[in-house]
Amino acid sequence: MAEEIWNLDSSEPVEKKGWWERKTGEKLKRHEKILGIIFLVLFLFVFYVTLDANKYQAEVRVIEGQGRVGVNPTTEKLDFGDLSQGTRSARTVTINNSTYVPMFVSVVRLGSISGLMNLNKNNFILRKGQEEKLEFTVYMPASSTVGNQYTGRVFVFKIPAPFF
Amino acid sequence: MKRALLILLNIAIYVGIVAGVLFGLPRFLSWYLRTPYPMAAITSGSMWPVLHTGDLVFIEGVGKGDLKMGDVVVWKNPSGFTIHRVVRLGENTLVTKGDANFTEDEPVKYEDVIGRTYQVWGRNARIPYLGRITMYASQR
Repeated sequence: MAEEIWNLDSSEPVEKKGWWERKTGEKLKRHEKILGIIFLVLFLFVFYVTLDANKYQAEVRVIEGQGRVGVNPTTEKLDFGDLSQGTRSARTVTINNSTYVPMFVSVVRLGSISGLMNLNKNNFILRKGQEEKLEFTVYMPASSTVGNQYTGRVFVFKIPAPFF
Repeated sequence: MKRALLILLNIAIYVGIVAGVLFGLPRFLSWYLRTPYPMAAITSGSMWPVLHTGDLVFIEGVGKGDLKMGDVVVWKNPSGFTIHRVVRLGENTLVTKGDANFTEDEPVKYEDVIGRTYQVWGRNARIPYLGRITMYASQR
């Protein structure tokens, strides 16, 4: 039911219109309102999960020689250091769930380094109070180019999964 | 009544399209590419960076005479299939090696070769990530 507002100049009731109605000239139907709310909730959920994700820069350089590994001890990013062909380097990320809701953990790797990177565990449920170590390993294959730097991004998504 | 018939007709058309894609496409590719195995999923990084884990590649059937050095071929082995590059062609066997590997594979008989990767404009035709569906299904 539309609200009635009295226009003091003309002494006649004026129908109060919503933003959508003023813009389009049509009222939103009930199913459109429901769909709008569903989309808004979904958008906020995706926004929260993306914002809450742990994001890391990853990089590795290819150096000449055999069996040579140079590690850069930084905790800010997943820096696998300098590797010669045939060698490997590992980095660990510890994640814990300090909330009351189980979380579905999913790791997404992007960039040129993603083809070289292996992960010990992915797509699993992390229960309340649980801690898990994710081990990222980079192996430098024979087809890598000496002098090249392979970079990328790693996203650790934690999606609330209350029904698991 | 007319409306219900129209909905049924629409459903039938959609089911037909989906069935055609699911069952017809592999058969069409088999015929077009002249091989019983027209598609393959890449399950390891041995051909990195040309082929990535999870890629879906298309395979075309080839005869012994059509094979040449540098072709990426698929061959049968006791544990499944291998997709590696030809590094040597012999009289009765050929030798392959994964681009990312340091060692060559054991010689492969020509009759074990299924085919080679289908190329479009000189590059391997591949669909990134689509092979993961096959990989996931085979793990279940």
